[in-house]
Amino acid sequence: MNLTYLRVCLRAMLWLLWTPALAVSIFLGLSPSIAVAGAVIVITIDGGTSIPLSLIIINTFLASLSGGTALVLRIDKELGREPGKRLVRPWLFCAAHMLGSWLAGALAFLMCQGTAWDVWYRLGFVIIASFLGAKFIELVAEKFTGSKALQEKIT
Amino acid sequence: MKPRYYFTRLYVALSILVNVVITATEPQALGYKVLTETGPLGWLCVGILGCLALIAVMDVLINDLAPEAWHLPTAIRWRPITYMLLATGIASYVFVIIDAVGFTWLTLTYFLDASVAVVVGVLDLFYRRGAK
Repeated sequence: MNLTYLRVCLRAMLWLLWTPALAVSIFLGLSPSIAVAGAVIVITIDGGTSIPLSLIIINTFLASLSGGTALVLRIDKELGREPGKRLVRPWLFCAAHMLGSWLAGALAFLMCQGTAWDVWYRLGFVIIASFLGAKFIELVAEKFTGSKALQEKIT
Repeated sequence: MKPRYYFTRLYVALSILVNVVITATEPQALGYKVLTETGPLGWLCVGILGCLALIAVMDVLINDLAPEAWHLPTAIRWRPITYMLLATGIASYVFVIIDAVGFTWLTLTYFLDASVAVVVGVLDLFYRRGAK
């Protein structure tokens, strides 16, 4: 079985998943100077809401995990159904899932900041929204480009 | 990777299980304090995470160490998802801790476990499909 595209796909996914981890590393490396500044960035929503940078990073990480779960489900389903299949433009395939989850996760996170929800509800909302965001992008891609355009049989 | 691969999975699952047990039983643990402050829903989430970790441990014991007649194909098929969910669950700790008390270096342990669980889940998918 030609697994070239699967390998590229999984590599892309791993790379995308490690991006937030890299951001965390950079943040930790800069932490002494950031700590003096309070380690807080201010996003102006309804007159100004302080959000810790570390919370934004972990939110991105969680959104990546949700998007990654959706992507793993999709790849497993595709290859389980027909092992000979390969994904066309796997970087685009992975990036669509991950960007969909990041966008949905960020929107959910910002929406939650304006509410007085319990932290566990906010957490669940972000995770579910990220997963659904990735699934939504997947469905949109299927609808507008068609599964035949996304996949090809192995030559 | 194949012959001793299950050691990695066993370690990740046990590490997360130990974290759950410490969180649930040790009053001095950061997780315990945060869970006490954030209400009963947190204990439910910790319970679910503990069940997932137990499933992952049982998966190793049954599908890697037990005789082949005892193998559970369903657990193998859902293994990548199990590890992705484990990673999400353990990363949720970090979210709740940072929200409650701000960033602390203690959360690095959870980051490490979550990252390794993701890598294990993806590599398992790759290995299972690549083995054919």
